[in-house]
Amino acid sequence: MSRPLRRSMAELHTWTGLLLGWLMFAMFTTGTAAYFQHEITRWMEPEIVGRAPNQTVAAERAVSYLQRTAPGAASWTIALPDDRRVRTEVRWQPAEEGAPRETRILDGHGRGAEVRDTRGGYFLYRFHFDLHYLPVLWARYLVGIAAMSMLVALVSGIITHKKIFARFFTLSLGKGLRSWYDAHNITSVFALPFFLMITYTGLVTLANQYMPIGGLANYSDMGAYFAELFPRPQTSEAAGEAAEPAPIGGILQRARGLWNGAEVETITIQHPGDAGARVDVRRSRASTVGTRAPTLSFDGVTGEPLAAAARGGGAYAVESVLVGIHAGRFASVGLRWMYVLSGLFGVAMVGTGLVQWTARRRTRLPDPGRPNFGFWLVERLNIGAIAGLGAGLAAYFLANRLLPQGLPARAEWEVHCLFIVWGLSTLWALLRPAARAWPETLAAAALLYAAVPVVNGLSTSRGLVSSLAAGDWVFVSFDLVMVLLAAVYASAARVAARKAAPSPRTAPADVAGLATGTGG
Amino acid sequence: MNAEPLRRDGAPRRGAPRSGTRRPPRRGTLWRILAAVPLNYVYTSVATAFAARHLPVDPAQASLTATLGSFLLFTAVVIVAFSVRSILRLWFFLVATGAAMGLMVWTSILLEGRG
Amino acid sequence: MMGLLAISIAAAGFLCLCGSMGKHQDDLLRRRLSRAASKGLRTAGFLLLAAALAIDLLAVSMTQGAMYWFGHLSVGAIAAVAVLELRRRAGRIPR
Repeated sequence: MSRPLRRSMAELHTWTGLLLGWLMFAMFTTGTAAYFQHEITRWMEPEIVGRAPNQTVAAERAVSYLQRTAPGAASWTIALPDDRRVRTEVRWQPAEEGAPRETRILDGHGRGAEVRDTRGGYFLYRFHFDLHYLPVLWARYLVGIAAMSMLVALVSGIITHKKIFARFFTLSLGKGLRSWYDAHNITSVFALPFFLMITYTGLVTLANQYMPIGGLANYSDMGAYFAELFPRPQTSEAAGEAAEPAPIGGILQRARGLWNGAEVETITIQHPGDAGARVDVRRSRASTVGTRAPTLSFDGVTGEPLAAAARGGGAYAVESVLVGIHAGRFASVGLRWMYVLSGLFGVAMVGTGLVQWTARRRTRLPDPGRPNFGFWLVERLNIGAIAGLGAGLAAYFLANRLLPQGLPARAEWEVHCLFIVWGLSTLWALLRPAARAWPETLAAAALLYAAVPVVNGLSTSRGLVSSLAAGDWVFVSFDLVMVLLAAVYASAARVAARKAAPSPRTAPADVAGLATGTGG
Repeated sequence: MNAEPLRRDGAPRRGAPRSGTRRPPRRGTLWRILAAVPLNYVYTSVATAFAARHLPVDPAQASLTATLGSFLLFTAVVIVAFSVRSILRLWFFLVATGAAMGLMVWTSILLEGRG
Repeated sequence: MMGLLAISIAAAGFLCLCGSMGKHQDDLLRRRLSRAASKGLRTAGFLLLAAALAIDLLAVSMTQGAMYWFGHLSVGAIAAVAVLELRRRAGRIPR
């Protein structure tokens, strides 16, 4: 390969990687956590115990709850529990014009559960593409630009590094710049097919926002395009007279029969109790790789299936699979952990890349004690993004256990806690010398993570010991992961502290290897 | 991942921030960036519309196929913009083929309309 | 079980690829292999990675198998690097 090409690709790689590197880091981190969003939600709603024996029973209990609670509603929606979810969520739209939609969470017995107000793991999932405190549309453009930069950074990185594979098997720790280089290399190459897949499919999930002209070339507006591509079940008219509804169990059985036994995700009942009632049953997205799960419609009184709008087509199926492999809803526990492992490599790849940028440039600074503004900012933002986000996530889990139950907008305050701690860590990094700020913020994150299982044990009846005794593996795993994260952050803090010990003015070479090992 | 992270000659690297002695920006870099981002987006959009109009499948599938492919084209053009020797020639190529495709999309919408 | 098999085969594939590289031959064997031997090792390495893919595709469905393969490749690569690192720690490979 010609030398100028490799050099220009290297520069492209550096600048596309740096431009939105912190955002990519946050997206990779929260997106990775989102592979366990339902399990995180379970941990964050410790009041929900027990589960319905199967989906049919859960659906019957939910319907009888809704018949008691919201008999005259315009529509009911029931999100059923499955392998990973224990809660049944019921929503209804009151018949009055403009009345807000109501939501309740039911426990395994079909009773309204007194659950603390939380967004649970769902927040982490939404944050990884909607961010927070920003209009969703803008946030998604920002995320799209970051993902596009990521794709370019990956491709230019591959072109740059015909040699990556030559050093692929070497991980030399504790050697400053060389270590960061190896760590970045090794984390990138390990899961390279995964990174290409996850970045491209991530763009695909929001493709029609980023490249609307594909649809607009053939349709006068996007609504017409979506209507043809993703036809929705029609809305039905209320007949105005009461009728005995068909039993929901029979409808579920027919739906499962048509789907070779696949589970159900949601049931929507329009005009419940009316002669014009209609039941839409959506297949679980965990049942196939493709994410566009079909919906079957039934007459709510006779229980007979209604004709469904035809959909499909080659591109439609491809898109469904691309989005499906991004979200990984189909993945069994083993594959889910491999998704998480690959995601963690992504976190490490972006993190080591960012730190490598400063490690490399520090050696070229005329006076490492007084870096230029750009260097200073990148270094501090690295601390804020890498150590600060970790601390913020721990704070999110702690806030879930510590905020009082009756606090108004409690769920939103949990989220505020995440950003307050994240922001404070970044502020701390801006005010302190970098060599001190690294170990300090990492140690703070370690302490916060270590506090999570302790606070969980003290504030709920579902601490590590009782979860172990009950064989509740979701809770046990969550607490153990917190302990593991605390250990990782603590050892990173220790390494960073050791590197920070000599004065930066007298030993620039050592500072170049600052915090070696935090990402490697 | 950066090329030659351990260069021993200590030669200053272009693009490396250096306080004090700031080098003038490399000639053509601005034009490369403009080609790689705004021009690229316009070009990719036109090419996507062109593919959506002309792929031999039904309109919804053609639109979706074109949209899915657009990100690959965009990435390819970024890479090309930073690897070609003559950025002027790339500008010429993108503007010429983009205009030709745009004209065809425009006339085809005028003649056949949209759904 | 098939997962473990795929991971082991992937790890073996990575070790073959590693052995096919001049720099690593210095470390592992303290001598360079012949061109033909290096090339053979490289081919064997890629064939083993492909075999891991074949196992995953046959054991699960086509799309899911590919996802499993991504995961098994990562785990296999970690295993290969860990093996080399352990040998290095044990002083078998000069630092």
